[in-house]
Amino acid sequence: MVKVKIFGVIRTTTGFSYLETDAKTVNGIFEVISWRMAQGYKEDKEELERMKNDPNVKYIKPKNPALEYHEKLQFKDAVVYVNGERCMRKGRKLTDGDEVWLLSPAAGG
Amino acid sequence: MTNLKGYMGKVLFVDLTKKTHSEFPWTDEDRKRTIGGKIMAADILLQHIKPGMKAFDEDNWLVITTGPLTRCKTPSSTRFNISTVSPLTGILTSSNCGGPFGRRLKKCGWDAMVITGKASELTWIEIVDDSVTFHDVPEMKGMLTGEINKQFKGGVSPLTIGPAGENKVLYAGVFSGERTAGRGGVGAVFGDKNLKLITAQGTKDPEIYDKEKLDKITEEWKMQLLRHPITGAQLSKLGTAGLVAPMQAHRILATKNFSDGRFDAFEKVSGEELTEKYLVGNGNCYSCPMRCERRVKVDGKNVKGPELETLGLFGPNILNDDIEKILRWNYELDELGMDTISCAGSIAFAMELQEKGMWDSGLEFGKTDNISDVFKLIAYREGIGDILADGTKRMSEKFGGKEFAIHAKGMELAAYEPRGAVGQGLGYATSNRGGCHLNAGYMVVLEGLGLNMNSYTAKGKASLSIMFQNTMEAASAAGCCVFTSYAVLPWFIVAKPTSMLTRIVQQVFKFITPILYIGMQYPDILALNIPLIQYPRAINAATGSKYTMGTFIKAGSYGYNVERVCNIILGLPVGKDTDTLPKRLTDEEQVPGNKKTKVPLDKMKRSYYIIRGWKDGAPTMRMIKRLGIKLPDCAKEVYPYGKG
Repeated sequence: MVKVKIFGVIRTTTGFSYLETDAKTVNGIFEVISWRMAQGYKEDKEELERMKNDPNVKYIKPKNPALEYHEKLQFKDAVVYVNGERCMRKGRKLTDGDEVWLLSPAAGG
Repeated sequence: MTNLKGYMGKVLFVDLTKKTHSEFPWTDEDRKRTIGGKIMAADILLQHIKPGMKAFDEDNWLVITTGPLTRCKTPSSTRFNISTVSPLTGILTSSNCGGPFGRRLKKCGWDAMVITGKASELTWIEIVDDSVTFHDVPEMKGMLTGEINKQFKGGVSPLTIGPAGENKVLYAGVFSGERTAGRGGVGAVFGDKNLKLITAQGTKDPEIYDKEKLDKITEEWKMQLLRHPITGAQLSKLGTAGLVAPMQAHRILATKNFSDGRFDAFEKVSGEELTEKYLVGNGNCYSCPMRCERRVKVDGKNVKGPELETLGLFGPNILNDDIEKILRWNYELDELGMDTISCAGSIAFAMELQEKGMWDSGLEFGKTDNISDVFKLIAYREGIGDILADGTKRMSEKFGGKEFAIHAKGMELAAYEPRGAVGQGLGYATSNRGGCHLNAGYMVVLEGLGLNMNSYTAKGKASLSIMFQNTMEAASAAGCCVFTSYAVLPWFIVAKPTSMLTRIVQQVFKFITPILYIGMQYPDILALNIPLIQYPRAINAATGSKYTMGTFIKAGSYGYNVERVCNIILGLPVGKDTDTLPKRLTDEEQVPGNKKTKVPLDKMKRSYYIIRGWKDGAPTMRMIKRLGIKLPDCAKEVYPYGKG
């Protein structure tokens, strides 16, 4: 399994902070998140309950599908780190035990 | 008076010794050259300071300035600036604040105020339009900043110091509402002058040159900020605290007094943790759509939460993973009236001295139960606090450890570990006020946090640092928050980090020096304005000035050079020791065995000085003449190239 930690606006957008998946590529992780977000949008109570009880999902809250402009842009454009190194290819292959971080661009002071 | 709109046209001059006030001469030519804010303050101080002048001299001036956009509804343009000779660094400091005082001062009809002298009693300066009254307020001695705020209602928001300022802690701040002009010890200069607070209540508003156009620009600008993934999303949803995780990923999260760039327990002190468990709301400076302020509860009170710097420096940098303690410490430091960055940096240095057996202060990495008590000792200068109150540089002179005393020009560094972003290291070293991340030019936004330019290469870093330093200098002078400058990076590049266009841009940045060099040497050729850079357009609409992108950035360059000349007059050494970093950052590898992970400062500085038109860290006479800087007579005695 691949461990995925989600930070920044990607986290507030998707509602997930952590998940484990058998995705074989970085793109595969996005597909898993998309599917789970879609379940959240349906506001299907059973599905939400299932996700709440899924030990691999740290559930935060369902998101309103009326995403803001910038959130639409951000979801699949995460800044990706695999095992602590920046990854620029969404097709990068993943293996069992990899740790992937998804982050959003940031600045401040 | 002024023929320019947007400005109030008057500068107040106050003498605390004589308890008198008058109008300080400032012409439209001066306004056009300096815009306002910190450049105006530096220009005023350039004609006043003398070699050997110290922060606590009676004739050290405090210069409080606003910008032409202060009181306009343009985004995040409520800022004001305080400049003076810093007790912490001994050179010029400029400290910026988003609190309401700047707007209030301008409503009284004053663009700025200059304060000289020392009062015999603790004093409150009350400004009501043109009238200025001096009140002795011995009963306010020792009052916390929050207690002072509670004394005033009905839109009167004082600019005040806490006990740390009264006791001349060298990094004491000045507070407006819950906002701080924190850096460089401006609060200690207030304290030395026996100035506890200033209030301003007025009835005037600046005239706007073209209100319809300014409203249009304001709307466009707000949309630009709201659409941007940094200014419209990250800052509002997670605040600056949202940087903890990206900094960890990029190895720039200062850990254990900057001995590392990663902290295993970073998630416990992250912006996500703050947002999900402790956030009770957002706050913002007047007219700011970014709303980066975090509201949290401490002892049931709704108070301002910590910024990234406070989280980072009171978290990983002292090996603390208890975020609740940081929320409390942030509040306590605001109440006592201290800069959290320098305070945390001094404590981290003391912890390393303790670990190495060089000073037995009782402060240890990871031991945090006694920190609140230490704050009080610092604020009242008691016990070990009396030593900590003087900052890292002086502590290293007393106990040794200069190679790991994390400061630049005497000012403690912010929470970005520059061995993971070497351009930021160049910025820290060359920054005029010392180890400030923003005055540095904030290269980390290109080096991994916003974009992903190679953060270990020296290529392109000097010219980009200069461009950002100049742009932020001018934006700040206009009265704007420098966070607005992140939106100058087009959203479609920042939002798509893996796109082909973004990758090309990042590669081009490495080779951009010749273009930027020409642009900076001949800024007048950039005789146009583009919607991406809103500042000159907004200033023109507000004031009737004729800034172009080129002349706007040239004003920033003028400011940066004037500040540097001031610093040299005040004793900043010229030569190899002008712009330095501690050896830990330049000589030790952050990742052992990886030679890239240290700051190649000398290499970057060579390019930096050439592009700036400086020699050994000082602007050459050619550059001084080109920018139109009026070198005062006293400078000619000490300035290395004074005879041209």
